[in-house]
Amino acid sequence: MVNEYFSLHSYGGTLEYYLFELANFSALAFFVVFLYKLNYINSNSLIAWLAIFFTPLIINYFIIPPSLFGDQFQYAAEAMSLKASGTSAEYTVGDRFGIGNTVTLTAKMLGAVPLPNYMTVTSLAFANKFYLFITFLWLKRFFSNENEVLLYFLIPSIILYSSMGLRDTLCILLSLIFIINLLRDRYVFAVVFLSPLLLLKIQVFAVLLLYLIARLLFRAHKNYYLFMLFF
Amino acid sequence: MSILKEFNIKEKISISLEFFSELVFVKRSLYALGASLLLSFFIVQNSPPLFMVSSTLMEADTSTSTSMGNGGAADKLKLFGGLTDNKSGPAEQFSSNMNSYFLAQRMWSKGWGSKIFGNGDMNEEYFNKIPKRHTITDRIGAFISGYDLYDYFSAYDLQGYIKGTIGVRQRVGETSVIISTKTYNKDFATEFMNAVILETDQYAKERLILKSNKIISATYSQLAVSKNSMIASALATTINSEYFTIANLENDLPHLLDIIDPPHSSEYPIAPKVSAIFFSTAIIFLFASILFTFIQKNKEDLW
Repeated sequence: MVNEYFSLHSYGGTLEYYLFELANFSALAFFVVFLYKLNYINSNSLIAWLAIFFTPLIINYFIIPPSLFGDQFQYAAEAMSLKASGTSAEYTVGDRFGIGNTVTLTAKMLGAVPLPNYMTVTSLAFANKFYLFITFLWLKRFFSNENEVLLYFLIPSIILYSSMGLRDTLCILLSLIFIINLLRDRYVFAVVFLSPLLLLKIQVFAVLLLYLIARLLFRAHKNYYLFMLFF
Repeated sequence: MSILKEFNIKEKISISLEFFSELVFVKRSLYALGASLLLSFFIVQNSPPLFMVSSTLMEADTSTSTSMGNGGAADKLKLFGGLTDNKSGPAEQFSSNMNSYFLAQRMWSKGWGSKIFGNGDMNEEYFNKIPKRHTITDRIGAFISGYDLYDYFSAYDLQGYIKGTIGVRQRVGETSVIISTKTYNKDFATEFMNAVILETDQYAKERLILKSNKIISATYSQLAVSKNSMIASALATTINSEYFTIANLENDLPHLLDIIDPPHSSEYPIAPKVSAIFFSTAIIFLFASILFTFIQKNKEDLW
């Protein structure tokens, strides 16, 4: 379901808002329960992720007014406009480097998550949670103890920022996946995950690009001479 | 093959089938869906339809001074000082005027406050004394902190109502302006928006006429004492320009914005969205049923 009237009606804090977002929570929670039954995650992860998935319902509107992080409305309006009509929202303007718009790319990435409803700003927060969970599933392969990985996803700032419809979660996850792929010498994957950051957050892209250049071209991780040469 | 073996796809499929047959395809899910239908009906029945009332306006040509410009000193004065030029466009001016206290005061004197906060009685004695209700917490707060709460509604409340309910937006690079509001009473909202648009334009015109008259009177007094012919010429041009502005404003035509689409209501309500309510409630109840069965069957593993 898509809220084609999003630019006109935000459902903020009403009964309908909680209905729509509880449905999104239910869908994600069902996914976690299903994975638990398939033995992909342990019982600690099950309980922790059910709690993590519930946080957007508590944080947006209930604890923090969403207008405090006003960008959420821009991303949400764009995502819903793209889903409802295939075109950008009326006030999404600008084209960075001739390759796209930050808001549009964020909306497309968050809007790609198969959630039941995209009706309010908090729907994008659930999309963020989904990406966070997928990253957790991927990351736990590298650890022998799943609970250790789980702890990283319980950092308050990660929970807070992923409970809102912002692009910060995408930036963090893309950076994380880029660095891990870089460390594992999987440069193609690293570049694939680095490229969206050019639009999402250019300063992060610039810093991570330095890592890539240092490792790939200068082989700075191999010896100190090349490391110094890079600088 | 090794990946498939490692993944153990057969086992996963059998666990999935078991999961669905144990938790999803059970009688309890049917009961849950039935209950969700009932709740959805109840919610939809108790949600009054919310309509969108909007109007499209187009920026009117307000550059009256261009036809009077003679490229002389008065124009130069305007260029550097800007006697009557306004940096904000008609849309911004319209928005500012619409949200001003003076407009609210004019609307209030026409009885709109009574229609919004009272019973619609147009008697001035009534609508200037519409009692204002305050919540108990507001009263307690005022009592403890020692400040007074207003007893009656005033034009400031109407100003807040206009600011809070009517939105003005303009797409970048376009001259049309959309004015919109969300309402449960579409007939009243249409009537009110129409009155606000006309009154705002009228107020803008009257304000500019007043401003021009003041400029004329001040310029005349300057002209009387001016000895420099060039400055006298510039002042005379300014007076002519202001008279021209007054002549342009003293008519029934719209000043800031032309009405392209008069205020009208959407045919369908924007809320409640019936299909989304039924769909969401069904998902919530179905998941609640699954979770309940899941906890019942896995109590030992979870704790």
